[in-house]
Amino acid sequence: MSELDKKLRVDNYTPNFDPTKEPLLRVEHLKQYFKATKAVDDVSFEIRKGEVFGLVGESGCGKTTTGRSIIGLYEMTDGDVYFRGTRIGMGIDAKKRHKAALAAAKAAGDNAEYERLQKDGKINKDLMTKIQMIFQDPIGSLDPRMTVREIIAEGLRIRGIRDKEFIDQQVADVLTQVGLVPEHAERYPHEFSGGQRQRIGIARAIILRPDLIIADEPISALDVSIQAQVINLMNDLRDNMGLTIMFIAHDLSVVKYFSDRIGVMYYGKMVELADADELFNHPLHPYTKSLLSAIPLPDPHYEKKRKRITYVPALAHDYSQEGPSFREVWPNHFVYCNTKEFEDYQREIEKLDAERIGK
Amino acid sequence: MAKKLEVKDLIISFRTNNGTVKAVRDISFDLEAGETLAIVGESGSGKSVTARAIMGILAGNAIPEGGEILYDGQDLMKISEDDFHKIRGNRISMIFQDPLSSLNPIVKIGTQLTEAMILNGKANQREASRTYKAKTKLLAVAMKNAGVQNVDANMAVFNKAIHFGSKLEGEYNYSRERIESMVKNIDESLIDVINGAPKAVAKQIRLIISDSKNAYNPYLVPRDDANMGAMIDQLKTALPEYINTGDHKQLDDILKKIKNLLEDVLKNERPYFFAIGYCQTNDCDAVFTGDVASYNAAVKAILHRNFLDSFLNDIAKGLEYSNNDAFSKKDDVVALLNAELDRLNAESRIDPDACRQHSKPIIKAVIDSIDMLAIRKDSAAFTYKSTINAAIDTYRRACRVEKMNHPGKKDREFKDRMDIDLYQGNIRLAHTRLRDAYSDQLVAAQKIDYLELAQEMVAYLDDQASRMVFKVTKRKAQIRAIELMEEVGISDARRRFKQYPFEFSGGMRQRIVIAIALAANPDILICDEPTTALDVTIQAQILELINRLKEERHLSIIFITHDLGVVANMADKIAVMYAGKIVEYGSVDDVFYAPAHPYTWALLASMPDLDTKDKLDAIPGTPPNMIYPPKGDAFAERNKYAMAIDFEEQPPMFKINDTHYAATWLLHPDAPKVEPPKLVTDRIERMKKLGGEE
Repeated sequence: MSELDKKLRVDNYTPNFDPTKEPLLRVEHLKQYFKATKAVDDVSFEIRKGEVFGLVGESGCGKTTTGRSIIGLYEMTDGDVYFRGTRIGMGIDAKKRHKAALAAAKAAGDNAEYERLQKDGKINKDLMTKIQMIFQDPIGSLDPRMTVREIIAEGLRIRGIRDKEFIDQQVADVLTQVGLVPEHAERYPHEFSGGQRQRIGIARAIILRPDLIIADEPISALDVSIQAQVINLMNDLRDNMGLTIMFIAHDLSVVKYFSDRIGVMYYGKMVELADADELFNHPLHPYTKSLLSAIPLPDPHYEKKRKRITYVPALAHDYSQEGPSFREVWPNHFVYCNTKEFEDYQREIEKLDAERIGK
Repeated sequence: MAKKLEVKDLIISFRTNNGTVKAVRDISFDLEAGETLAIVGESGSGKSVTARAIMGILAGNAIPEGGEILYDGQDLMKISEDDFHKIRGNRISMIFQDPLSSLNPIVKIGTQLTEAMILNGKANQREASRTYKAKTKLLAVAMKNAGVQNVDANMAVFNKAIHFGSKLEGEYNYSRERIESMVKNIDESLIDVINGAPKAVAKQIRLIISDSKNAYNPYLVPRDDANMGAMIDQLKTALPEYINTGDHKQLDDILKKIKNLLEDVLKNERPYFFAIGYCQTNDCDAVFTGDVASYNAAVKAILHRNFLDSFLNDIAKGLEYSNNDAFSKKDDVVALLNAELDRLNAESRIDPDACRQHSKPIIKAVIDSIDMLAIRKDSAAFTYKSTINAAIDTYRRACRVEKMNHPGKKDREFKDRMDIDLYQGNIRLAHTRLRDAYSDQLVAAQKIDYLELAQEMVAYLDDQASRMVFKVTKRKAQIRAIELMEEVGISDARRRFKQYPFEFSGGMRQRIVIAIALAANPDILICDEPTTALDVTIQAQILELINRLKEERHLSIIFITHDLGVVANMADKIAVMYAGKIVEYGSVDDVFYAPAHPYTWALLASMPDLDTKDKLDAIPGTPPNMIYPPKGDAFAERNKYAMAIDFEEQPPMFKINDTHYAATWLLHPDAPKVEPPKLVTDRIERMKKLGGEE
């Protein structure tokens, strides 16, 4: 256990967590409604330790809201979030249900059940320290009146660390890690370029040595040449620190390059989830296909031939007989579909595989 | 292909508190008709500044230091704001990055689309009438000078025919507009009948009936056409029946019948109003029997036989005279310019005041030598005055600054001596350019077919006359706006026409912005990062839309972006910009399959595609501070292939093939052979294989 973790006393909270058996983060039936708008509607997924989980979809599909709900920036409408096997979030409706279940167990005199429920309902806010976020806008997310040192060290101070020498040491460490120099600590954000500001944002996120980083479109606002710098930096950090990253973006080429598994969202629903290669080799849901067909590539001859597929939900699905649900069509490949589509999709994968072998 | 727009040696700086930022440093490119030029570069590379200079919307602290932007015989860097007003939006249009901020949030979409059309319509009518008057007056004078007989009488016949014809055309336009609007309303009410909205149907049918009163025109639907009148009467009885009983069969039938009739009428040939005007003002024996095509042929034959053929010869004589007159003057100008150039070349240090004195008679001679009757303006001659004056002014200012800095030491070599030489060179260049242009014209002058020119002139005047009566009414603008909205892919345009911008999604808003940009039928469309604020699917839709519109309307497009992936499908030519300079310029295949500049390599290597597995080659560091632009190649500092000379001297544009140029010392014959990064070569290999396979 590092000196920092000792000071934060974090690891003590989850002594029984075993990354080989359990996912690092488990999101179950997450719902986030804003009045009538169902921004996120019943989304479940897991993130395993050490992987990069990409979340893609068009603007307004709820991918950013998902990230923000997990980290607790919004109060969830419904659903459960577990991190390292411990609950860190519970939706309003889930709380109501939990309260009712507690009362019922007490009335029935079932002590074992009562204790289990009580233990399960405990929300461990301190564990949130181990989840950090990188924001899209490197200008808007840094306080212009704080020096870089203050910005980066804020998390440590909030966690109750007052040892100035220790803080300076940590700040210098992370600055070097993100490719800046310790002298930069005395400057203000406006003295940096866009790429450097995003590095400061990353430094702020990693100073608490998190296990999970939620990166919300971290490169969309950056210049092309800088985007690659930031991606490489995040890749290095992932290797050096054993980070797990949830990567939210709409640029599919970058997501494909960077992610191990990818989830595709459409209008608040997760419509497909698979390993990156599997998703690009066997896109099944019509929306995924339309999304993949829209990726522009730096190849004029290919581009002249590229045909874009349009996705019209009303034409693509017939849900009048049976509604869709999230099913595992192939090992580790999930699609939002009904029984008929489920069978079609399985046949489609077999066909695609046969074609590939034929080639 | 014809060049639409030429940018030559453009230099633009910005005055800021910290110093002068050199945003664009000496770039040149051409835009040809119907092609897309993509300008690619990082932020701060000067790509947007270039676009804004072409649109004439540079910020107030911009200093246009030199260069020219030639469009349609005018140098856009030097024309007055009034002149620019006619070009901006009408001829050159722009789509901006953020669709939210380029629409007015408190004005309905429809109003925003139509307002420019209506205002421009009025201005165009005035403009056409002014051009027509000026040209005919000049033509009459030229014909008289050429010794043609009966000029005044013939001119009067011509004017009368044109004016009578355009009066008829005005009436025709009015009726045609009503008919178009009737067809639209019929379509609309047919849909509303199916949807079961009797109130809306009744409203539209009232509009159809009131329009039908004004739709009569001898060349469209004659007033005594019994068929039409009867059908309108039937419509009047069918409507109450539909309202009362809900039975819409009869109404449908009658609406479809009217629509068929009207659509047939709209397909009729457009009458040749000039000839009709001539026949009707001169008691000719052509009789209109209802068939526009045969009537057109008849009146055209009469016009040519009785009047136009001989008049065309007269016009040709007039044009020849005016042209010869101009060319003899052009001879004088060339002589004057040669004398002046000899004088300038003899001096190592030009005296600006003497230069000004000498240039005055030349400017006068140049203005005299312009053939005002020419339909296409001569850009070299028209821009000469402003170019030479600006060159002398900047030179004089530079001399004064130098004197202030180093009083009394005129002959010493100064640090800014370089600049002085450059300014002197600009003066010589202005003279030389005009001399060369005129010499070329003098050679070409031998082979002019004046009869052809005369026909062109008559067609031009006829065109101006029909512009005079082309009135853009509110209703016409509305029909046109709805057409435009449908053209850019907005469904249910009639309803959306009345909505506010906030009721549209991002992609739809960008479509509206494109529709507004196209409203005035521009030749050139500048797209400044039109898809950066949009996500992948919407981006693909907008790019397809721009491509489709380019095909349909023969637009020339300047497409500005930082994303190389986007341009593969869009561009015909690509200019890669870095630190205010074009570093590579070539066709889309050149740049993607055989990139030559290390910066282009770096850009390609820093973006992953779907098959990239290796570590990305990020470009280290950040673009240079353009207040102090680096001495040598601006990219040298971030370039892993940089050689010693890259830090010393700026590389010139090396020619790789006829379409492909790059500014890097690596292309110098003495340079070592360098391979592009593996990531790039691999991808090109893969792309070629993929292209061959399919």
